[in-house]
Amino acid sequence: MDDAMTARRHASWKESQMLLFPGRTQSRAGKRYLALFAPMMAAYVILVILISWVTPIGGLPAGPRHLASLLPVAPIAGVIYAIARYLKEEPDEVWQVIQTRAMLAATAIIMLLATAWGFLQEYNPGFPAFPVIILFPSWCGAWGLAMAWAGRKYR
Amino acid sequence: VKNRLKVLRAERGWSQADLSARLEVSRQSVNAIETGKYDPSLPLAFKIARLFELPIEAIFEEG
Repeated sequence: MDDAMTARRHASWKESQMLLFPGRTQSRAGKRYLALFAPMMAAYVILVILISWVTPIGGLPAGPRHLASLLPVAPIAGVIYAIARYLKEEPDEVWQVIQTRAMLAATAIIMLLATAWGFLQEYNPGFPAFPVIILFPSWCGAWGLAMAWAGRKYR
Repeated sequence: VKNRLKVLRAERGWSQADLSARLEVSRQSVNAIETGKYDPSLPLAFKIARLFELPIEAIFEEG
């Protein structure tokens, strides 16, 4: 009886965590995801602040400036790796399906919106240029929203 | 694929949460399999069969 109760508590806890945020599962995959995601996001913020305000790189010669402006890309690559590894390692099959569908839906939405923006920009003088650096954060936002959509069938 | 998971689970007096803990999957997975919204992988189907001590064909059937 105690066993069953513990199991029940464990399962419902795990589920509530999963619904909140995929990284906050008890699974090893979820822990590994968060352990890489959090420091990478922190590094990203620090590097953006560094090259924008602490040591502005605008005055550097072209070569070093190009290199310095690419610094925040490294932690984003780390985040993408964390997501890919999480998807591969997630032990729950249905959750893996939900995540995969959500990622594909996010990709479709963001591709469509970016293409629409691109055409508006191309044929309408004065239309603001697309801020490409928001592309990945936008995809992450769309992924979050799409997760609710993809998970609705399995509630 | 149709399955008798819900009946077998009820026979043992287990909730979906109990079964999910025993199979080490989420309750969502158990629900999705029971309602036929998701067909489990072969390894998970074997795990289910082992847990209920039945052959896979006694739990899952084509259709």
